[in-house]
Amino acid sequence: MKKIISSLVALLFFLPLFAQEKQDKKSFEVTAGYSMLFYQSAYNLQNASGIEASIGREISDPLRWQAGLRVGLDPLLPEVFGRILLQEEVGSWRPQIGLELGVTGRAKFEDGAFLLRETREAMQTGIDAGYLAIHTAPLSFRISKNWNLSIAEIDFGTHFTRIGRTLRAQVTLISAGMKF
Amino acid sequence: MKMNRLLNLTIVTFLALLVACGEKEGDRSGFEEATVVAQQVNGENLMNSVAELVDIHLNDIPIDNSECPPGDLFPTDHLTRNAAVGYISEEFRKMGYIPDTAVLGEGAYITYNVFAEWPGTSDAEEVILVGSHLDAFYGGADDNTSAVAAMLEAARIARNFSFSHTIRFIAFDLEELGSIGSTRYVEGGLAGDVKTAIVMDLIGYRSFEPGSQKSVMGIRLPDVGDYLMVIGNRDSEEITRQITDMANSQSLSKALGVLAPGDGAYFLSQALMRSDHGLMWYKGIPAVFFTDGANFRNPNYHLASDLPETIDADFLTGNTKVLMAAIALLAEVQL
Repeated sequence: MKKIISSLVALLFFLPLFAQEKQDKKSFEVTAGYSMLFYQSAYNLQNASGIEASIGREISDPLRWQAGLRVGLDPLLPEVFGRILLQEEVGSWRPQIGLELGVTGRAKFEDGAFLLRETREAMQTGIDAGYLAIHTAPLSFRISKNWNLSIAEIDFGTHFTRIGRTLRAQVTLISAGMKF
Repeated sequence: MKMNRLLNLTIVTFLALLVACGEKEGDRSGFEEATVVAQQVNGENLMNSVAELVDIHLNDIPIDNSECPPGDLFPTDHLTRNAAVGYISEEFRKMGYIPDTAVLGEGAYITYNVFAEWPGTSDAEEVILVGSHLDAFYGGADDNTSAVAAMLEAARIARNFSFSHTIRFIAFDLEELGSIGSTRYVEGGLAGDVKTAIVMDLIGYRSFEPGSQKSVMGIRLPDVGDYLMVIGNRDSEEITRQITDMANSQSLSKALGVLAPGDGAYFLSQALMRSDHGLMWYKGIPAVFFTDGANFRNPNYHLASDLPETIDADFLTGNTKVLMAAIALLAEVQL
């Protein structure tokens, strides 16, 4: 696993050397990625992996928007999200930070083991579907005129109801984007 | 390994926000009157109750545990409750109460929450709830016969006084399987009239050995486990401070106040909601939790060795005085 990550990071740093052509900032970008979600509240901890797809575009430098759909691999539990991002370009490195707002099908945890099941259920009645999160993409790179690659994007957030009762930590392990 | 370290660091950082509230002096009005009531606690009564109830648990038939097989820390094949329901009900009756049972749920895990009320004289519609769970693994001397004995002793003493608010003494069922009895009680709307709750779970074990008190999920506590923990959240902050101050200033028992952040109903502070007050915190009912630290102190936790001889009679007596004084303060005793 360490070797794979090291190779990937090395690739991300060296590929951009061959990708000096400027991208058209006004064009749309479609991205697809694979993510892990760690989701927790009192007496509940749930991990899931999923895939996501989004579309985005620059509003005005350095601001851009993004909207997308994320689905779990098992169970499906879809989420739709929108992001407002600040993006800086330093050579081919294009780190992003912003706010993600979403509506999720993951507002309810699975029943889980018998122990504490009723308490867990009672503690889910107040969780609504809306959430907000801080989104960061510190390792996002332009790798060619039309292609971008990002690893280890991190979202850290909570549901709107009683902020802090639920915690969402999401790591988008890898995400590729294409401009068109 | 690194992920674990990162997780531990996150937990410690979060729990660093917890505030210990030991010695802060605040409003002490009512302490003297409350102490007068507390002095009626009788240690002999307490230890007799512990001995009787442990014996009852040890001779009872364990409940059906087919849906919840034994696991680490949860020997569900040794969980009893049926005879304790009858014992507590009968004890209430002997004191002159008319006990009732909130029967909730169905099947093997039907719950019997036994309760009795001492009506208030002026604000009877506002209830001070005093709760402890009645089910136990093995004999359960500390967990939770110590707290049931304290509740019964408080119920006995309460009848000698008048209070503004109604006091409801309740023994919750099946806490050990996940606070089932109290969850159904709260979810069923039966706690709607509760102004404040005091919930107890293990209050009879102490040790004077350095290192006997372990830290609780990163919360560093005084490492000599010779004190009662009085645990509150934002909704019960003031009364947590008052009870802790009263316990120490009136020399009732050595107490340490611990406040959970916010309403306390978070993943990272769940160790502090690990009893029948948990859902009350979540639902916004002001609740204070008394404990000796459970498995973070008592080496007999959930073991066959949780027997009466491991209970410190003076400590249990002192903690029951804290309970009785807290009841007198919150229910507004009229001397």
